[in-house]
Amino acid sequence: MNTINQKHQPAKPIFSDLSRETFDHKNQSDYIKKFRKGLSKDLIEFISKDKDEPDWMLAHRIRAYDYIQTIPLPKWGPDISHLNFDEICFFAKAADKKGGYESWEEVPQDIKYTFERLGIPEAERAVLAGVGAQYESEAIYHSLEKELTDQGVIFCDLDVAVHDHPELVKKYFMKCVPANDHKFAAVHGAVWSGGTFLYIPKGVKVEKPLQSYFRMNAMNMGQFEHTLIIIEDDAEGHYIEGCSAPKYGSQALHAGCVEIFVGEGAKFRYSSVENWSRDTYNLNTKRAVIEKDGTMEWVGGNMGSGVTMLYPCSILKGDGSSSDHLGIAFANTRQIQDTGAKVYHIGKNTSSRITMKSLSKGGGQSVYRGVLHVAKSADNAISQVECDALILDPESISDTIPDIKADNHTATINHEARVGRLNEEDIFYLTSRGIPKEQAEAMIVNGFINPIVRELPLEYAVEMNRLIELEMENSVG
Amino acid sequence: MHLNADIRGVILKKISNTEYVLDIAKNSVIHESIGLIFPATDSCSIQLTIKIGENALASVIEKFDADTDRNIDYKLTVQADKNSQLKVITLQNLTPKSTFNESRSTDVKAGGRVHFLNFQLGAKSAKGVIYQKASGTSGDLNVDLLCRAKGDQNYDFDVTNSYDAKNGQGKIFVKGIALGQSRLKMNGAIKITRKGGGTDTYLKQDSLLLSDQARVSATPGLNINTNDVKASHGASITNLSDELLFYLNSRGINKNEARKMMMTGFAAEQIDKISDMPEVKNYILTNL
Repeated sequence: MNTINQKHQPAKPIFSDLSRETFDHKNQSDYIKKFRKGLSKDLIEFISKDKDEPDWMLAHRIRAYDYIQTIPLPKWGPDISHLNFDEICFFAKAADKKGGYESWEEVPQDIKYTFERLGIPEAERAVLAGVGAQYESEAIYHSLEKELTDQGVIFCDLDVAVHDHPELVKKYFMKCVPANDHKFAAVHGAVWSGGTFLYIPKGVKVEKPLQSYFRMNAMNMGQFEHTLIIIEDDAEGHYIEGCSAPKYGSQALHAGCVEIFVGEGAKFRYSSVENWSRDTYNLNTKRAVIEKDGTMEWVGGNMGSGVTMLYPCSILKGDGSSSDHLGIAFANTRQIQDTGAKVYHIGKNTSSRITMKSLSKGGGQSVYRGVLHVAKSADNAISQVECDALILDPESISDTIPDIKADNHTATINHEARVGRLNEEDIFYLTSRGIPKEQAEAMIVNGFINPIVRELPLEYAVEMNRLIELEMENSVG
Repeated sequence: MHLNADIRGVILKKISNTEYVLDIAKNSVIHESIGLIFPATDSCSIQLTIKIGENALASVIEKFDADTDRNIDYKLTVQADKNSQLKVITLQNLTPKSTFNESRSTDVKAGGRVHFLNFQLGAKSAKGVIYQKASGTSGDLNVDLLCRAKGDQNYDFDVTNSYDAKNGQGKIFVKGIALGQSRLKMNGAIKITRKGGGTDTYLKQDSLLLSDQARVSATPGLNINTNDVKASHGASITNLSDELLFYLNSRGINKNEARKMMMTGFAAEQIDKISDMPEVKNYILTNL
């Protein structure tokens, strides 16, 4: 199955050579000419037909399309009124192989080159149990260690899962994030394409992480991948998503959706490093439902995009369930990072923790927007929220907007937020020891985000630190 | 509306039946509290402007309590001149069928200090918006708001400190106690504009939820537009835990007494700030 899955230790960190040029590099995208821009019922029927989908999925897409007409754009948060659906290409594919290629060698050279520059195959060799790669609207490659396949783990493109595992997909697909949830959930429900399906059966513990990498290459592209993860009772797993796109100076839209179902006593960690280009509107929806004694952990880094609106959500449905949200957002020039977390305590004895760090630089705006609700049924809920923001220059902005609501008198909730700048004394100390100011600032920033970065696998922590260093370049001026 | 006594340097001007201006003269240092007596009518809508002159110091007490049901609409505007210091103490303890709506806004010039000590204990529905702005350097904006809601009382308060000049300071402390089937909604915000470098400020919102029917919500927001600042906020929602109740019970303190102790302890931080006014302090402790 997997021809590149030979284990060896890399001589140097996988992502150490990443540069801005690596992400901004774009391939030829002549295939895009075959696909029309804009959103219509015809397009939805075309997508469904192209994927040879069952009738229920087409009906779902049509229902979602109807919601798009009635649900308005959100009235809160960053201004997204400039986003023009008529200018977005909602569906395009660069390769014609259904379900992706089974072997890395078969992947077309130009696509393979892109992922190799990003270090994906090398990461698979070194640290991952399985890899998925999506290019534009469709997955081009998926692999999984044989041992896990034998244990019943399913890790494939969601388009493939619709055909191969219809009963599972039908049971869970868009049940956690319904298409009428908000405008972009409706858009997603209508034009979703590609993404990942991960199923870990009861009691199976997948120790090494699984990864998918999503790449938009063409101009004015829209990517709507759907990640559906089902972790059965007492199972464990860790899944990582990485995203990037080149810069064109023209808008692109990413409205993905992640749905995670964590069974009784199960434990799951979802990590993501999003680094879309500054042209991208990243309006993603991520939500998990956690059953009795289940644990959900979110680790996220948001570096890219012009406008990000992303609030991973945990619904603590079962008694004794818990969630942990860790996030970093870096808002640089002309970026709005409107991120945060949502937690709904419903079961008894549930607990949650939210730790968010944000950085604003060059006039960038970072926003923590959170929701923490304790339902009447949620006896003895405990929650701890901590938000720290660093503003690196006088032009940048940091906002904190938490919404805390307790409908049960046994709840214990704590929220703390701090906003400040880099400590001059720390910078002076480092510069007096011969470290250039720019590097000193980067060191302090890396220290600031370290409590979250260290939760990522080592190789991804290196990538995250490298991305922060790239953002910190030219910060002294 | 009239004052409880004639005080030198203080003049209450009537502009119309609903509009008044309270002038506190420049450089006056008034040690006794200025008491405002509101009209004893069923419905009353009052607009008051307090102008406190340069270097003046004063305390104003507003007391809203009556034996009959009242509907009060109150709008206060404070203009605090350079280096002035004003304390406004509000006691609202209206009957359980009354309604109370208040809106407070302040403009604080360089070196000025305004401190609202606001105690909300009565009325069926109480709503308030407190918006303070430091337009001069080193403006000091402070709000202490204590809400105790019981029965079917519904409280909704919104407190904002906005810093539009350098080196601002001050704190917002909002505390809410929810009993019975009450609803308590408290929003707090700190805004620092690009001109507000050097500001050091804090917002704290604590809630004590003492009934299984009560509901509490809190939104402590920060809106920071420059980097040379220290701004933070904290929010908590706590309850009378079974462990604490057991501990107190084992020492002969019953549930009601334990609840009263918990409430007094919870509110102590704010009540202690008026320890120089023993009558006011006793009034709050008796009615808490």
